[in-house]
Amino acid sequence: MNIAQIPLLDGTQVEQHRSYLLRYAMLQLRDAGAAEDAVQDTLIAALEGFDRFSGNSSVKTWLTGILKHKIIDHLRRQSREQPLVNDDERSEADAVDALFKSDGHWESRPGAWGNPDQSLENKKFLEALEKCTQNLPAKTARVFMMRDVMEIDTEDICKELGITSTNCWVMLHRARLSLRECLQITWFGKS
Amino acid sequence: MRLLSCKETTALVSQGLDRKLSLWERCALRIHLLVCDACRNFVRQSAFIRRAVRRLAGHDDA
Repeated sequence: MNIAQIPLLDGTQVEQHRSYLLRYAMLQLRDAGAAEDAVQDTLIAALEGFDRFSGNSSVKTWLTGILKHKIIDHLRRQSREQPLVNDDERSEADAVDALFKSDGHWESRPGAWGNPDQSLENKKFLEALEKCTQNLPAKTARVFMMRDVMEIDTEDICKELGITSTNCWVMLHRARLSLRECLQITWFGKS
Repeated sequence: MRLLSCKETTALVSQGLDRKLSLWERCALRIHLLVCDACRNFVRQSAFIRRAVRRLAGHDDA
Protein backbone atom coordinates (compact mmCIF):
# COMPACT_ATOMS: atom_id res chain seq x y z
CA MET A 1 0.00 0.00 0.00
CA ASN A 2 1.38 3.41 -0.75
CA ILE A 3 0.97 6.63 1.20
CA ALA A 4 -0.98 8.44 -1.51
CA GLN A 5 -3.73 5.82 -1.46
CA ILE A 6 -4.61 6.60 2.11
CA PRO A 7 -6.76 9.69 2.36
CA LEU A 8 -5.86 10.39 6.00
CA LEU A 9 -2.15 10.13 5.44
CA ASP A 10 -0.98 12.06 2.39
CA GLY A 11 2.59 13.27 2.01
CA THR A 12 2.30 16.57 3.91
CA GLN A 13 0.34 14.98 6.70
CA VAL A 14 2.97 12.32 7.10
CA GLU A 15 5.52 15.12 7.52
CA GLN A 16 3.36 16.75 10.20
CA HIS A 17 2.94 13.50 12.09
CA ARG A 18 6.60 12.81 11.67
CA SER A 19 7.65 15.98 13.45
CA TYR A 20 5.71 15.44 16.68
CA LEU A 21 6.47 11.71 16.69
CA LEU A 22 10.15 12.54 16.42
CA ARG A 23 9.87 14.97 19.29
CA TYR A 24 8.15 12.35 21.42
CA ALA A 25 10.74 9.70 20.56
CA MET A 26 13.64 12.08 21.25
CA LEU A 27 12.30 12.83 24.73
CA GLN A 28 12.26 9.15 25.54
CA LEU A 29 15.36 7.94 23.75
CA ARG A 30 17.69 10.97 23.81
CA ASP A 31 19.33 9.68 20.66
CA ALA A 32 18.54 11.15 17.24
CA GLY A 33 19.35 7.99 15.29
CA ALA A 34 17.27 5.73 17.52
CA ALA A 35 14.40 8.25 17.49
CA GLU A 36 14.45 8.38 13.67
CA ASP A 37 14.35 4.59 13.51
CA ALA A 38 11.45 4.34 15.94
CA VAL A 39 9.44 6.93 13.99
CA GLN A 40 10.25 5.23 10.68
CA ASP A 41 9.09 1.87 12.07
CA THR A 42 5.96 3.54 13.39
CA LEU A 43 5.01 5.06 10.05
CA ILE A 44 5.65 1.79 8.25
CA ALA A 45 3.56 -0.12 10.80
CA ALA A 46 0.85 2.52 10.47
CA LEU A 47 0.71 2.17 6.70
CA GLU A 48 0.67 -1.60 6.86
CA GLY A 49 -1.97 -1.66 9.55
CA PHE A 50 -4.09 1.27 8.47
CA ASP A 51 -7.14 -0.93 7.99
CA ARG A 52 -6.99 -1.60 11.73
CA PHE A 53 -7.29 2.10 12.54
CA SER A 54 -10.77 2.30 14.01
CA GLY A 55 -11.31 6.01 13.59
CA ASN A 56 -12.46 6.25 17.21
CA SER A 57 -9.31 8.11 18.20
CA SER A 58 -7.42 10.78 16.28
CA VAL A 59 -4.69 9.66 13.89
CA LYS A 60 -2.25 11.38 16.22
CA THR A 61 -3.32 9.33 19.25
CA TRP A 62 -3.25 6.18 17.16
CA LEU A 63 0.25 6.86 15.82
CA THR A 64 1.54 7.83 19.27
CA GLY A 65 0.23 4.50 20.57
CA ILE A 66 2.19 2.61 17.91
CA LEU A 67 5.28 4.72 18.62
CA LYS A 68 5.10 3.85 22.33
CA HIS A 69 5.41 0.18 21.45
CA LYS A 70 8.33 0.88 19.12
CA ILE A 71 10.06 2.87 21.85
CA ILE A 72 9.56 0.10 24.38
CA ASP A 73 10.91 -2.45 21.85
CA HIS A 74 13.95 -0.27 21.41
CA LEU A 75 14.49 0.14 25.16
CA ARG A 76 14.18 -3.60 25.60
CA ARG A 77 16.77 -4.30 22.92
CA GLN A 78 19.02 -1.66 24.38
CA SER A 79 18.78 -2.94 27.94
CA ARG A 80 19.85 -6.36 26.65
CA GLU A 81 22.71 -5.18 24.49
CA GLN A 82 23.92 -2.09 26.26
CA PRO A 83 22.30 -1.49 29.64
CA LEU A 84 22.17 2.08 30.94
CA VAL A 85 24.79 2.79 33.53
CA ASN A 86 23.29 3.48 36.92
CA ASP A 87 23.14 7.13 37.86
CA ASP A 88 25.71 8.22 40.38
CA GLU A 89 23.80 7.30 43.53
CA ARG A 90 25.89 9.48 45.82
CA SER A 91 25.62 12.67 43.81
CA GLU A 92 21.89 12.13 43.18
CA ALA A 93 21.19 11.67 46.87
CA ASP A 94 23.30 14.75 47.59
CA ALA A 95 21.33 16.80 45.08
CA VAL A 96 18.09 15.98 46.92
CA ASP A 97 19.66 16.51 50.33
CA ALA A 98 20.79 19.95 49.23
CA LEU A 99 17.13 21.00 48.85
CA PHE A 100 16.35 20.22 52.51
CA LYS A 101 17.81 21.10 55.87
CA SER A 102 19.11 18.25 58.02
CA ASP A 103 15.77 18.11 59.88
CA GLY A 104 13.89 17.56 56.58
CA HIS A 105 12.48 21.06 56.23
CA TRP A 106 12.83 22.91 52.93
CA GLU A 107 16.06 24.81 52.49
CA SER A 108 14.16 27.22 50.26
CA ARG A 109 10.36 26.87 50.55
CA PRO A 110 8.57 26.51 47.19
CA GLY A 111 6.43 29.56 46.49
CA ALA A 112 3.28 29.61 44.38
CA TRP A 113 3.63 29.61 40.58
CA GLY A 114 0.42 31.52 40.00
CA ASN A 115 -1.35 30.13 36.98
CA PRO A 116 1.44 28.00 35.45
CA ASP A 117 -0.81 26.47 32.77
CA GLN A 118 -0.58 29.74 30.85
CA SER A 119 3.07 28.86 30.26
CA LEU A 120 2.08 25.68 28.42
CA GLU A 121 1.26 27.81 25.38
CA ASN A 122 4.65 29.49 25.51
CA LYS A 123 7.30 28.01 23.24
CA LYS A 124 10.11 29.47 25.35
CA PHE A 125 8.71 27.74 28.43
CA LEU A 126 8.66 24.38 26.67
CA GLU A 127 12.28 24.94 25.66
CA ALA A 128 13.19 25.71 29.27
CA LEU A 129 11.39 22.55 30.39
CA GLU A 130 13.16 20.47 27.75
CA LYS A 131 16.52 21.78 28.98
CA CYS A 132 15.56 20.85 32.53
CA THR A 133 14.70 17.29 31.48
CA GLN A 134 18.07 17.06 29.72
CA ASN A 135 19.78 17.90 33.01
CA LEU A 136 18.36 14.78 34.64
CA PRO A 137 20.74 11.82 34.87
CA ALA A 138 20.07 9.25 32.13
CA LYS A 139 18.36 6.54 34.15
CA THR A 140 16.29 8.94 36.23
CA ALA A 141 15.17 10.67 33.04
CA ARG A 142 14.20 7.35 31.49
CA VAL A 143 12.10 6.27 34.47
CA PHE A 144 10.43 9.69 34.71
CA MET A 145 9.57 9.86 31.00
CA MET A 146 8.24 6.29 30.97
CA ARG A 147 6.02 7.17 33.90
CA ASP A 148 4.83 10.73 33.27
CA VAL A 149 4.80 10.83 29.47
CA MET A 150 4.27 7.24 28.37
CA GLU A 151 2.01 6.58 31.39
CA ILE A 152 3.47 3.15 32.08
CA ASP A 153 2.78 1.69 35.55
CA THR A 154 5.78 1.73 37.88
CA GLU A 155 5.48 -2.03 38.21
CA ASP A 156 6.03 -2.46 34.47
CA ILE A 157 8.82 0.12 34.43
CA CYS A 158 10.60 -1.84 37.16
CA LYS A 159 10.25 -5.04 35.17
CA GLU A 160 11.57 -3.40 31.98
CA LEU A 161 14.56 -1.84 33.71
CA GLY A 162 15.22 -4.56 36.27
CA ILE A 163 14.94 -2.27 39.29
CA THR A 164 12.90 -2.50 42.51
CA SER A 165 9.76 -0.41 43.00
CA THR A 166 11.40 1.41 45.88
CA ASN A 167 14.25 2.34 43.61
CA CYS A 168 11.75 3.45 41.00
CA TRP A 169 9.90 5.70 43.46
CA VAL A 170 13.15 7.19 44.70
CA MET A 171 14.13 8.08 41.12
CA LEU A 172 10.72 9.57 40.35
CA HIS A 173 10.84 11.64 43.54
CA ARG A 174 14.28 12.93 42.61
CA ALA A 175 13.21 13.70 39.06
CA ARG A 176 10.21 15.74 40.24
CA LEU A 177 12.20 17.64 42.85
CA SER A 178 14.90 18.34 40.34
CA LEU A 179 12.53 19.50 37.59
CA ARG A 180 10.66 21.71 40.06
CA GLU A 181 13.90 23.29 41.22
CA CYS A 182 15.13 23.77 37.66
CA LEU A 183 11.86 25.40 36.50
CA GLN A 184 11.87 27.59 39.59
CA ILE A 185 15.35 28.86 38.74
CA THR A 186 15.11 29.10 34.97
CA TRP A 187 11.46 30.12 34.54
CA PHE A 188 9.12 30.85 37.42
CA GLY A 189 11.72 32.57 39.60
CA LYS A 190 12.52 35.01 36.79
CA SER A 191 10.23 37.94 36.18
CA MET B 1 1.62 9.45 65.18
CA ARG B 2 4.90 11.00 64.13
CA LEU B 3 4.63 14.04 61.91
CA LEU B 4 6.17 13.92 58.45
CA SER B 5 9.01 16.23 57.50
CA CYS B 6 8.77 18.22 54.27
CA LYS B 7 11.27 15.86 52.64
CA GLU B 8 9.18 12.80 53.57
CA THR B 9 6.04 14.62 52.49
CA THR B 10 7.41 15.31 49.01
CA ALA B 11 8.36 11.62 48.68
CA LEU B 12 4.78 10.59 49.50
CA VAL B 13 3.29 13.26 47.24
CA SER B 14 5.46 11.94 44.43
CA GLN B 15 4.46 8.31 45.15
CA GLY B 16 0.84 9.42 45.21
CA LEU B 17 1.23 10.10 41.48
CA ASP B 18 2.47 6.54 40.92
CA ARG B 19 0.58 4.24 43.29
CA LYS B 20 -2.37 4.23 45.64
CA LEU B 21 -1.29 5.45 49.06
CA SER B 22 -2.37 3.61 52.21
CA LEU B 23 -4.95 5.13 54.52
CA TRP B 24 -2.24 5.91 57.05
CA GLU B 25 -0.08 7.59 54.43
CA ARG B 26 -2.99 9.70 53.21
CA CYS B 27 -3.82 10.83 56.74
CA ALA B 28 -0.22 11.71 57.53
CA LEU B 29 0.03 13.59 54.24
CA ARG B 30 -3.18 15.50 54.81
CA ILE B 31 -2.11 16.63 58.26
CA HIS B 32 1.21 17.91 56.96
CA LEU B 33 -0.34 19.66 53.96
CA LEU B 34 -2.86 21.38 56.21
CA VAL B 35 -0.11 23.34 57.87
CA CYS B 36 2.56 23.58 55.14
CA ASP B 37 1.98 25.89 52.17
CA ALA B 38 5.39 25.05 50.67
CA CYS B 39 4.46 21.36 50.34
CA ARG B 40 1.01 22.31 49.04
CA ASN B 41 2.83 24.21 46.29
CA PHE B 42 4.92 21.10 45.64
CA VAL B 43 1.72 19.07 45.16
CA ARG B 44 0.38 21.51 42.56
CA GLN B 45 3.74 21.88 40.87
CA SER B 46 4.41 18.14 40.49
CA ALA B 47 1.00 17.70 38.87
CA PHE B 48 1.75 20.68 36.63
CA ILE B 49 5.13 19.22 35.65
CA ARG B 50 3.34 16.04 34.57
CA ARG B 51 0.96 18.07 32.39
CA ALA B 52 3.86 20.10 31.04
CA VAL B 53 6.02 17.15 29.94
CA ARG B 54 2.97 15.63 28.25
CA ARG B 55 2.48 18.87 26.37
CA LEU B 56 6.18 18.87 25.52
CA ALA B 57 5.75 15.38 24.07
CA GLY B 58 2.87 16.67 21.96
CA HIS B 59 -0.09 15.13 23.78
CA ASP B 60 -3.36 16.87 22.89
CA ASP B 61 -4.91 16.11 26.23
CA ALA B 62 -2.10 17.52 28.36
